Amino acid sequence: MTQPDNALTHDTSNSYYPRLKRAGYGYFQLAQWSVIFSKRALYLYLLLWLVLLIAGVFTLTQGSVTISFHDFWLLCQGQGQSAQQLLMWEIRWPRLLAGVVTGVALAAAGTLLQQVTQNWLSSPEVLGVNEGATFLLLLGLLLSPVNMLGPWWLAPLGAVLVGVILAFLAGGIGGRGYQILLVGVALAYFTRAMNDLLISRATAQHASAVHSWTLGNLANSDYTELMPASLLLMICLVSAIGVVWHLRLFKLMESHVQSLGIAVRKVQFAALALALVMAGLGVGIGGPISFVAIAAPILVARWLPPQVLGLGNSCMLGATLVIVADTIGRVVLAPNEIPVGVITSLLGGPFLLWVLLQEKEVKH
Amino acid sequence: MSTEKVVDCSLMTQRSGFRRCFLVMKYRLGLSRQGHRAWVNRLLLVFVLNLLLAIASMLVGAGYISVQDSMALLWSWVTALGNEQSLVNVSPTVSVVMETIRWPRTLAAMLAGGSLGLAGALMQRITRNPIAEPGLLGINAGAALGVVAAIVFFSAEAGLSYMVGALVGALAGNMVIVIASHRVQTSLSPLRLVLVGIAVNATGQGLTAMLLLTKQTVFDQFRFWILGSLAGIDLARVLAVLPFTVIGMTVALLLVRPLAALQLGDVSAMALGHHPSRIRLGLSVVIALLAGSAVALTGPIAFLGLLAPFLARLLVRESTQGLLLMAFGLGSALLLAMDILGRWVMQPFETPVGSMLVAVGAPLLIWLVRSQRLQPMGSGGGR
Repeated sequence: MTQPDNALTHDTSNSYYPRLKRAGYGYFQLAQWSVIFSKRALYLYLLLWLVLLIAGVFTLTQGSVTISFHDFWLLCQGQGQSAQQLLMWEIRWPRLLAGVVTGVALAAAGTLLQQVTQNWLSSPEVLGVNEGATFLLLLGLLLSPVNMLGPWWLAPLGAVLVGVILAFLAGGIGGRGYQILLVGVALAYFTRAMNDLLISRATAQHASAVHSWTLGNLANSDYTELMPASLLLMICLVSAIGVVWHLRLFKLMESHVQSLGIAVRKVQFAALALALVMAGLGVGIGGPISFVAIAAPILVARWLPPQVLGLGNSCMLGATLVIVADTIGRVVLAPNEIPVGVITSLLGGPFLLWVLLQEKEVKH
Repeated sequence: MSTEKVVDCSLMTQRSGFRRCFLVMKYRLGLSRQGHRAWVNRLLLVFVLNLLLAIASMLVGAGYISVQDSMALLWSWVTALGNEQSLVNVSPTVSVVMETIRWPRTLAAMLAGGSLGLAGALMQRITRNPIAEPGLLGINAGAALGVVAAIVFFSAEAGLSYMVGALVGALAGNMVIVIASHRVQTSLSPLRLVLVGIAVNATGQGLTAMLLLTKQTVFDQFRFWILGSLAGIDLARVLAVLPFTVIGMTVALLLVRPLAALQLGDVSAMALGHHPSRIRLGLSVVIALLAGSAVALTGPIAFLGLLAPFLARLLVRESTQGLLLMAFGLGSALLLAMDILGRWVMQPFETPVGSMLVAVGAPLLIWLVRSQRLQPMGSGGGR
């Protein structure tokens, strides 16, 4: 433990750390271990937590029935009317939690996919991963005797299935430029057609509900599926942090990364697998909510220095985006609800257009 | 080409009246050159194929009507053309089913399929992009949004108001594409164009879904239409849309020569005396007309505008007008075939024809991507 006087501490007074500091990095040192972090990323992270907190309080109190802040405070302490308690803890709180889980999962999946393919435009909804997850859930609906959607864990399976098919059809992942994207677009169309077929087989009274779910909907979320799903998400996120450690370097050429002693294929494979599972998990909880996965990492990247990958930040932003979109959908046309997926695709379409047009400008 | 143009122009100046008008039309349609062309025969073959498929479409379908009965009715229709004899020995149910369900359906399939095929061929020519297509690029989604908005806000009932909504929506969708490709000056790469299409599609579908979800009754009515389906089309709707399709097709065929010139590149086209931007604008309107009329009939059908021109390019290499006509013919044949297949695959359920087409079209797109055929179509070459 006591080995302070080595080269590392000596370096602090020398040139390395002050230069880092000037470049906007902070560091944190304990004995011989030190962690370097981007200050900007940290501040953004804290800011996003704050925004998420505010959005969370807003979504808990607003809606078809408004809870005043005084009542909200009472409810937080476990007091208040029983009707309001029911509303808050049994309806709105699971919904908020589902939104956070979905947003975090989708944004993390988007970040990993974008880094693996080194392309801003690859995301689960463009590549058809979301549709694949939906497909298995709908199949579960059709095969089940009680006309219920399949259990949530079918969705990650479907996502992985589509991912395998995609990698097979596109002839490998990573560094293939636009080929994988275009194959993914075609695959997404194909899977969506299959989904439509399944919906059209559903009986009329279910069709509308199922249709609303396939647009991405957070209503009807409950704790029984949220708990195992959030556990799986935690595991995935922790392993994702390990993968991201290596994935940061993939902005370099592949041969350079290899010469640094990193098993490129293994890292790519792990990142892809994690991304698929998380995307499927998001779909399993919240339905195929589009454009969160593509928008969150792009927006975060605009604020961070290019060396920082920003997984945590985009997770927070993803959760915030889903919560805000869901609240908009609940409040705007109350008592009618607009599914969160409709709001995100309304806002996400123009966003994608903007990204596409801007990227071209940068190139010229 | 230049000498031929001179000869034609001299013809035009010498004659007058109907004869001159006829010659001008012949010139505009690109038919003034003499000589045998291979694609004419192939076009005739596709026409015959269409005829056969149409007859098959009249004979097959749900409802307890035997093929013999429907055949007998069809034959009696044919004989009734010659002499005005009454149609006997066929039960009234058969004639009702044939006249009010199958005949409009067949007609709608041919019209919508042809329009989408032609629109796809035109888009691929304008954008010089072999996977440009009204469905992928969001024009169909725009048209569908227009129709649903017309129903929800103006409680549109008749075919004509559907058509107006579809036309406005298709024009709006097309404008986004034109503006997006105009802003980046050079032609967009195939993928970028498709991604712009995804963006337009998402916005259009989001709005459509929002409108449909707020009106439950409208959703129940349109849950098949929104997937692209030929079920439940009546003759009035077909007849309301027919003029728009005809106008679109005629204008497209009148613009054959400028379109062919455009294929050589903007500079060459200008040197030949055309205005590239004006041609593009005109053709955008034509595409909106065609796609809009198709959507008003059958709902948004994707990939037909990709499949039909792709097959047409295999059959016709040398001439633009041949390609356009072939795309129209193949589009209608494909939609008819898919509709028959969709009625037959999962009896007694009907498979929406839009889903059937995607199931066939998406693999083709994947194959196109894999086979490296996606370099932007260069100057000159027929593909």
